[in-house]
Amino acid sequence: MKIYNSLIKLENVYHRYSITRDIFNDISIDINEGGFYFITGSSGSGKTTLLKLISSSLKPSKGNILFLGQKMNDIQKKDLYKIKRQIGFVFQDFRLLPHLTTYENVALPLRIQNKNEKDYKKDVVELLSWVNLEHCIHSYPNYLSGGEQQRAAIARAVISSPKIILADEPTGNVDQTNSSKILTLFQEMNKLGTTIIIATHDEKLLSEINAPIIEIIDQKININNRK
Amino acid sequence: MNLLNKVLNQSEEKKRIKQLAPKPANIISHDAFYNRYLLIMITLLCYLKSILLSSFLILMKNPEFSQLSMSLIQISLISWCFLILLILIIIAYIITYGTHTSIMYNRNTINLLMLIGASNNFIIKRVIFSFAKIGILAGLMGSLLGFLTILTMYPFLSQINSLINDISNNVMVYDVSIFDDFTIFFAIPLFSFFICVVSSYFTIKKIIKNY
Repeated sequence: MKIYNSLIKLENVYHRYSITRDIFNDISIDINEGGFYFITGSSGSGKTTLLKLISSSLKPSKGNILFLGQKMNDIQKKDLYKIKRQIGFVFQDFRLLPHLTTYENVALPLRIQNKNEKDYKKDVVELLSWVNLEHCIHSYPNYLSGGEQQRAAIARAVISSPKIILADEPTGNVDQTNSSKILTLFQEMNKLGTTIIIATHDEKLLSEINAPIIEIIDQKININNRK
Repeated sequence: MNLLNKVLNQSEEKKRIKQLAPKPANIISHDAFYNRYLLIMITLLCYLKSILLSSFLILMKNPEFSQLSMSLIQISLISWCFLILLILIIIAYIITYGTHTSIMYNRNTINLLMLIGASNNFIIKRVIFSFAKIGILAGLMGSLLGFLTILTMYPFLSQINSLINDISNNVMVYDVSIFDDFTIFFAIPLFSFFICVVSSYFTIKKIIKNY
């Protein structure tokens, strides 16, 4: 079996939204399997854009992005979902579907993979108890607190055992206590071998884990390994 | 004894999970307000279609119809065909418009589904399913209403040629032979289902490509 050390590789990537607005100017990064990374930068610097590029939700204007050695540019648009199934997303605004219960929201990635409910029912319930949400399994997202919603969002990202989890400001809408709980969940997932990338400008969060920081400054990136 | 305990524990665990996780709801919500309007509009159109088709059949079966001049028969045939075609086009247009509305209304859900790895086909199936449901329901309700109307109107319809030719034979004859042929009332829901599925399929396929 071939072992990939590099999970995602960005090679000389350029990205621009319009002629007047360049976001990235010749950036290269190597994301290793099982790593923990932070992405920082000022508002509008391109943290979310970088996550979108990594997740293949956006195509770079120029350059290559490789996922497990495979060039994303070579993959047809209709087949991109196969890559996306290997990526878990956590958003600042949670993005839980309001008409589905917590259980249904968490089970969503498995439902879209047409998996049999009998096979995953137990896993979903166990995962919900792992994130301390067993008591609100039938509750709709609108009846959950910010911290609970974010934990449900994390459970949804983890349920399909993705290779990488991309979190965009995951603690942006939660208090300090919940922020620490969420970070602990990410650490636990990382210990199990999942690569974690968190985009944040929360200095406290950055100080809690000694992980490499990918800093976006003036359309370029600077990697601080903090060793 | 241990085995019995194990089996009992397992069944209790299964029961607990079943209680915790009931049958999941539709990912793309089907009970939006615009779906109800669509249902009403398509039901009315199917009702109109069933009345037009069945009244046309009644007149065709009437022996007095053949006594009319050839040009009048041709004109009535063309007008009927045109009206039926027009209704089908209107249904297709409404469904196309409804599909656009559905995508707009559910864009956050669709965006999320695409981000977490839903294939285009998965989304297409969910959207089409909601319109197929509308198509079959509206078709059934429309043809049922049409059937009831024709049942009430039949004696008058059977006399219409006599009225046209000014024949003073106004005896009401209740001949139910037309209702031996119920296919028309079964065909309407199928037609409506088919039109809804085809229109929504081509629309969603075009939209999802640019997503």
